Amino acid sequence: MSPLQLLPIITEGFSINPTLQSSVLNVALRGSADMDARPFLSHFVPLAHEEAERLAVSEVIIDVHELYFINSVCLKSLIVWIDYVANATQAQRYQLTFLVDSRLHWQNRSISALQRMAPELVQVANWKGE
Amino acid sequence: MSIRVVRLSYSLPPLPRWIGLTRCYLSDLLQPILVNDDEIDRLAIGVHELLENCVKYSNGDTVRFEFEVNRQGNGAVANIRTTNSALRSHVLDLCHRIDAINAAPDPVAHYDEVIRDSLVQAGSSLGLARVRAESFVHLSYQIQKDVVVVFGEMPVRLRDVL
Repeated sequence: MSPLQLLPIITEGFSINPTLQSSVLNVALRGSADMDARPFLSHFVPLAHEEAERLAVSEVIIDVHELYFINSVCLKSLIVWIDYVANATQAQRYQLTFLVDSRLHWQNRSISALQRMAPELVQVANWKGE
Repeated sequence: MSIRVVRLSYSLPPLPRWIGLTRCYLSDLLQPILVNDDEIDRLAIGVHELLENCVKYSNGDTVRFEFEVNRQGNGAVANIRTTNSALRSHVLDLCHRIDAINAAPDPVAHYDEVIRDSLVQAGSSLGLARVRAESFVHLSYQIQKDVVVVFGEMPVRLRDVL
């Protein structure tokens, strides 16, 4: 398998950190995903999807346990990501798992809405701590 | 009788920097006032999305934001109000969205539908439906010429000491 060709994005107040572990692509979103974060996330999502297909990963884990807020515009980027996977061929399709912190109440509600889009592709798991 | 517990209001230029600052300030302010963090999270989403719409679509020099928590009898209500001028087409679109939200029998099913529709639209168009479905904030509006006022209302529970 080729090494990950996806760079982290670090801005003031928001970061995206992709890492590859075996056949799983981890994407950690941290900080606040608001208007300032939108161009970075909307730029990253298609690249991450292409990379997941190139590496033929079985799963992408989107770790949001350190994400303290997401606005609807950034949620749209995640909706687009789910749509990319839903429209991929069966061979290129992968599982999307959102890792949430149950103490951040908004996360379960906001991510559940994404899961309802494609329950067969999207899972929600609770972050268990370090 | 209504007793005011919290009030924050300002008129400022429509700059994105106020949105996150307002959300974070109110979240901190409400910590010792509301019983549970879930209500604070829900209000934070409501405040952020309504203020972001207000700033994004404003075509004037200032926008107005008002937030209050009032004790009413045995309960309490949080009120959000945003005021901005905007292009007529934006005002009508906003009113259409709020009317559709209020006409929908199930806010969550309506939000799911808006999410699906957003895939074929350039913008997100999710904010208002999200506020209703996830924050349980009731939305309404008033229009006067090119000025639109959006109201958000959510019951809250105050701590016993207040």
